[in-house]
Amino acid sequence: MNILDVLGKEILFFDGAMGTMLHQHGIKPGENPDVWSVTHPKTVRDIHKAYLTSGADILTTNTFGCTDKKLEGTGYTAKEVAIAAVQRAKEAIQEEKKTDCFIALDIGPTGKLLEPLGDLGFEEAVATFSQTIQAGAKAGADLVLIETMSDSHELKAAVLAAKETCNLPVFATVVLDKNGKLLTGGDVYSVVAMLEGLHVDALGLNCSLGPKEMLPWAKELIKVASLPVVITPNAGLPRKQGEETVFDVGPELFTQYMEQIAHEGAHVLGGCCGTTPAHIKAMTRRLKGITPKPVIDKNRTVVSSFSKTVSFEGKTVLIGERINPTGKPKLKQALKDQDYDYVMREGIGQQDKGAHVLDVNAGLPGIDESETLFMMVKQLQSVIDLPLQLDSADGKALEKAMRHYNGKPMVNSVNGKQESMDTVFPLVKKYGGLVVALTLDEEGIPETAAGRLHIAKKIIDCAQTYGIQKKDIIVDALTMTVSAGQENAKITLETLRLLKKELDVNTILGVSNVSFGLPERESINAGFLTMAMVAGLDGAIINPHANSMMDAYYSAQVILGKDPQCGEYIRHKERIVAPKKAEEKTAENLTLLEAVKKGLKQQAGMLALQELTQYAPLEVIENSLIPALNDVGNAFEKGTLFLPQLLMSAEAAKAAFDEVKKAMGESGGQSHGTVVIATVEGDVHDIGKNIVKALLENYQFRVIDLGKDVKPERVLEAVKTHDDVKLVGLSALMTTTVDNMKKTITLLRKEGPPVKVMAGGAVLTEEYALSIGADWYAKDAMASIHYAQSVYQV
Amino acid sequence: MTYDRYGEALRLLGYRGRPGDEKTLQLIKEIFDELDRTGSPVYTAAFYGLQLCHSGEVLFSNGWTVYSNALYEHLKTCEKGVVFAATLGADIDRQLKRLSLTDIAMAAVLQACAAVYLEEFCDRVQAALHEEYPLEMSGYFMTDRFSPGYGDFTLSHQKMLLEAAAACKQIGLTCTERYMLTPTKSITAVIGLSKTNICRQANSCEHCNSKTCCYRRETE
Repeated sequence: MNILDVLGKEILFFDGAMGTMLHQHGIKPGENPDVWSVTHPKTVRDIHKAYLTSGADILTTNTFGCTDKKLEGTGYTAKEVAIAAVQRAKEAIQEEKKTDCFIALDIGPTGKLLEPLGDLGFEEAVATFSQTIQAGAKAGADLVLIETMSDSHELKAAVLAAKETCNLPVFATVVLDKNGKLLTGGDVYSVVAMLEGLHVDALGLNCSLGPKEMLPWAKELIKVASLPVVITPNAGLPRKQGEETVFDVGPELFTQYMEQIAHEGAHVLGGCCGTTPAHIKAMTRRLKGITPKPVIDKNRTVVSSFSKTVSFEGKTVLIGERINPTGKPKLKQALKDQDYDYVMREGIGQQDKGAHVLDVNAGLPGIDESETLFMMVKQLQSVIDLPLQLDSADGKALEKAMRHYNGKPMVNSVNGKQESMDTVFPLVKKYGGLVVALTLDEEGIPETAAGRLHIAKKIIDCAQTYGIQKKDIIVDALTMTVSAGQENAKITLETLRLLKKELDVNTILGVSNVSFGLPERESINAGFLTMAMVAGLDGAIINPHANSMMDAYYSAQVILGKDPQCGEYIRHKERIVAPKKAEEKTAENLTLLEAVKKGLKQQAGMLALQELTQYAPLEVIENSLIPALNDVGNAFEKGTLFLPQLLMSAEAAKAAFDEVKKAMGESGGQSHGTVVIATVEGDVHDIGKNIVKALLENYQFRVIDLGKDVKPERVLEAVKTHDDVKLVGLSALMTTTVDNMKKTITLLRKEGPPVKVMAGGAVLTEEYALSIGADWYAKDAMASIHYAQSVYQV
Repeated sequence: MTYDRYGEALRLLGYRGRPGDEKTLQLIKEIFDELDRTGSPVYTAAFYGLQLCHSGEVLFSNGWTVYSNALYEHLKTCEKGVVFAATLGADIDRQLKRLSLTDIAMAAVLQACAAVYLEEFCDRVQAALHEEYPLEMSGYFMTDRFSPGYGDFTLSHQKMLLEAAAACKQIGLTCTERYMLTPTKSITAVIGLSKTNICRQANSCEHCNSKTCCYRRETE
């Protein structure tokens, strides 16, 4: 029997804790429990048997930590342990002569945090899980249970590993803290969005909380989930008693809560830490045979990041369009230079302006689109919690970005051409996503609303053959330039209305196209956005920096009754007005030099603009900015001014430099030279490096920042590919990584062009830095500036 | 000496006992307010029996042995130990990176404030251990927290302490291949439990040998 035949139709019961039972059988704290499947086969088999006789339908294998890394030193491989574990469960079922029981191959977290927060690569995680799953599936497991996941990215890696190595059903459950959060910031909504996108077979919660504490989160989850729900709490909250961990919720109380959870609509119940055969017995006795609530498709259109979920219910979603190199020379240059800081700042800027989702496009001739899009997504997700819209016409680029994306993305786009659908839909099916469907096909763009509706229908029908539902399609009615045809905008609006009326499908537009070729484009854009929202627009791709667009958006939301208490409108207005007020009170009797010295960022930018009306850009730099920075730097070195003040001045100077560079136009931004900086391999602490970078940029150096945990080879490559690099800065915080600093320097000396190396970091001393081959020990941020100036003879 | 969180933050920012300037103090206040409002530090603790038979050898009741003179000295006379782990979570790391891009001054101040906030949390948790674990703690005095990286108690012990406290499963705390805790704003430590009142603070700033360290706590 396949578990999918009964899943959702009757309540199924998992077993209880394995660890707790092993403990009762004498396993010591710190001893590896997974190897007991090999070394203590009878014990493990007996535990399974006890759960079977208690009424469990699904046995969970003793493989929670079954990875080669965790088994290091035990003498066994993950493969061996997984096979033995499945075998023990099989034996138990045979010995108990059960026929309708299932074996769930248990997959727990790797115990490592994924990049960029930790040092485990995504593909490395997939490979780790794959090894265990492959062995367990081959040994005869009936399903894969991915559980106790506290990081959505690791969860995704495990689900992909399961999907790629076997055809077994996949159940996935996560662990929440008492506030309903995953360790890395997700919640039930973001978890449901991602897991449903990945097309698992059941999803839910386990561990950490007792049934009482889990109940409210289970309710929330059931409310939004369109799949069968699994709930396996601990036997209460863990409590220490002597050297033991004990759980207070006994079988009877546990059952009472589980009954409530079943009535709320859960479909699979079981126990995690602290639960015993007695808990399972009490629960199955009371609840076996009751009919669960049916699994209902909630028909929600949602996208998510690792922590945030954006729903296309109720209000028009704003998608920031700025991270697209088309027509943006600075972004083009940044992508060519692999300057992802620029991309991240662009993203942060749009988020601050109120974007709900960010479009990310790397379509630029001459660069590796796949790698660039992947890096942009990775970097953006390290600082921004908004869902992203992955935007590419290249299937390969889309796949790589979708695979590594942490959450359920928007995908831009598919169209009515068969080739496009055949490329994009398999990706959406595998990785999940809300896909933008352009209403064009082999024949081009239909000139009528009915023609576009026809293509939309075709796309939705085709999606369904791939198992993709209408709720995961958002149709682009296509904005055509109104100056090229008077009827163009009207046709688009009519298409929106038809799409809503005939198909009840989600709709989206790239709004700004409408005004191409006209002066004061924002006026037209704002008017068009309002009218499109009236016609039923669900997603608007716009520039969030355009205030008139944001005004039009928030106003339309109010007028259409989509902004309760007009709260968003009011907050929007406050956001705009507040900085203006701050600006107004600036600047009286303050010079640019003083503003920079005092670290007044906003004022410095404004005063730079004022000075630029009277002086040439270079004069502003020479007469105000450089003296201010020098004064502050000297005071820092004398110890009369401290790091935060130095950095506030740096920020103020940066704001002023930005204005000066704008005024200089093409010739702006001449640097003294290029410095490569990196936090060495193995080290994840990079604040010191970031401070040095900010100051170097302030002093007009171009900085190539390789980030943290950087392999020696990457430093070498950066130095080789940029022939104007004369200086490399390396940082390391911990004693365990200083030897990697030495390795990096040795490699540079051996294989690189002649460069100077400065080294800094908390554990370094001058003596040590020089002993590992550095040319200069940077005792603090200013010391690195002075050295850079001397190397480049500034 | 009364505790002063602002003073601690300033110390970590390199003020060496000098008073903070108005703007920095304002920034520190804003960040502490935000941490107090939104911070969600978590911890886990596990109790082990200890045997200190040979000099430099600490035997835990689960069979693990740590070879460290510094830890041995710290735990001398202790019969039991608490393996302790705490973290501020992953979001602080993201915030630090974000601020490094948008406001480096604020990033530096958050870095310092988060460290102070984490220490405060650990102090509170430690002070409440007697209340939380009356059975295990009754009749015992505590040493200060002693963390890997101090003396010859090398960072490589992070892995063992994380396992001993089941920190990955309990609070999601892990370490990298080079034994750095991730999320980064985290602590692991051993607290010794002794029947005799010992005042052992080897882990503290004043007892450190780096006399010229720029972060050194200035004492009267």
